[in-house]
Amino acid sequence: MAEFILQRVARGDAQAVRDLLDRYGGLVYALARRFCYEPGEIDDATQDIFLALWKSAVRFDPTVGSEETFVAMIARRRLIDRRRRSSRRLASTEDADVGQSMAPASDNQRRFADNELAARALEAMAELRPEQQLVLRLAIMQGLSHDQIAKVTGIPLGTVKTHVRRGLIALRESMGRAASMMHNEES
Amino acid sequence: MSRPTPDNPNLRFHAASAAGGKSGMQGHPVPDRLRIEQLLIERATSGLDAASEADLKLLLQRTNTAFDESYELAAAAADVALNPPAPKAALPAELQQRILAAGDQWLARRAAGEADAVEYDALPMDIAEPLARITPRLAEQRTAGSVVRQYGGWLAAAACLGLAVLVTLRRDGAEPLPGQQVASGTQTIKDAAKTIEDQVRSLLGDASTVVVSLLSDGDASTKAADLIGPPTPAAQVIWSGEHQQGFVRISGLAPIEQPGDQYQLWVFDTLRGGDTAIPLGVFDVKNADQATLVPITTPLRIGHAATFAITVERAGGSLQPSLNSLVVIGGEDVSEPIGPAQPKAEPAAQPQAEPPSAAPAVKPSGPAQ
Repeated sequence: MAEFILQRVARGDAQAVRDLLDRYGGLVYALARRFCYEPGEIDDATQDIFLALWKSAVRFDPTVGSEETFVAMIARRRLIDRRRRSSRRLASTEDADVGQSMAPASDNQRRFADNELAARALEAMAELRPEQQLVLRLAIMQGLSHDQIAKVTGIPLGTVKTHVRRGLIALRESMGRAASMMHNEES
Repeated sequence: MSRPTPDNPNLRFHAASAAGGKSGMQGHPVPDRLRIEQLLIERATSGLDAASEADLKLLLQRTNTAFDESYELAAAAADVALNPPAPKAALPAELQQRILAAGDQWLARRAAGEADAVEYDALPMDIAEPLARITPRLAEQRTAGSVVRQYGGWLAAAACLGLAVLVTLRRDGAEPLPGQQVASGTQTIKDAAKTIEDQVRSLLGDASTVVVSLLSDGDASTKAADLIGPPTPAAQVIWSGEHQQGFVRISGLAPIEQPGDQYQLWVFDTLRGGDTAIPLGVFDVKNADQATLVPITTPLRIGHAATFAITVERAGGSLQPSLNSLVVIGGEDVSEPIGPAQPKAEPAAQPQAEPPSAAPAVKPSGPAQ
């Protein structure tokens, strides 16, 4: 099985640093644009994420999750931390896509769903009730706190917490099954 | 990346954390494992404030639970599935060049072995007291500790384990840690001793293993002993950074008379953002005249174990060392690396320190006095 880019980065392979940027630059930049508000901040955040990826590449385990998911996880962690540090909330809660229910997967989503884990995530989300989907979407995609979600949706705080918890646990279990299947197929 | 771990069976309840965390329902206690799950889920979605982050670290340490990244992975997978980047999405050229230049700098720092160029832990446990607040005499004692290091006593202690008291590191004063060996009967003790002796031999033959002598902290008798010869270590630690495994051998500590107190072992890891104390577990000493060998178990990766210390804490252990209860402390002398390739001729502190003839390629450190 070919070595993953992150595994090569962990070994200090200079070409792998370039390959990682080529392969995931678009994904990281897209996440940074969604979490940040100013162009300069987006660039700084993107660079910060790649530094975090190089440093943490040693922890990537392909039997637990895909490389894309690991990259996205590190990127989200850095972006959420950055948002926390700057003590900035979303520019406006009206920006949150509150009224939108889960739409059918777009072509773009389907293309991305070639990634088995992403496909499983879409399936797991689709199995949730609409209200759960909405709450989870606001939490994951918009990064809203439970309090903010309760405020903008009118759903009681306790219910919001329950929806996020159950939704994420369902996603986690689905991811675990997918990762296990992928690992078994590869081995 | 941490693998998902089963829920820790520890069901200690608490109403709300001292660090300011929230309980699940107002006024109702929340089991530790559920509180950890709450915090991990919140961390994966909207992130944690500083108080909740500290709360999570304390809970993970107290319950000896590994940090579980699976919630963050699930959130990330859902995020990229619902918001996939455009197929030809790419970075602006200027930003790409900037990042590549930063990449070259990182590669150079990594090649130079700079400590912070690689992060082994997803959640650095940097909550404990800085080492500098424990003792200002550390530098002196590091030097003293290096003088008395020797190997033979380790093998003797391991070989005699069937006669000695085997005290296991315990979690919250309760059951042994998973995978830990427990001596519960004569046969079991012999079996365990064989296994531990093998482990000790293996560790002593490992180039990454350090041996650290722990001495009293500023004790008047120790100072006097310094004047006439090497101080006698009350405890010694062998630790392999590569294998993340070690033992502490206690040979000079008295049983604690105060009911409800236990000894607790700490390591100061200089790769965790400075000198911070990481708890390695609690143990009892039942007889000061018998050597006691305690396996070291830690869910955290120890980067550079520069210094070890033993304090007296409440039963079950503390999250931070009590400054006024430091019993012994000792540090690795980095100028004198310990390992089989470079044996040192040093005076042995204990007569029984001669290793068995079947000792590995490790040369015992010098003749007895």
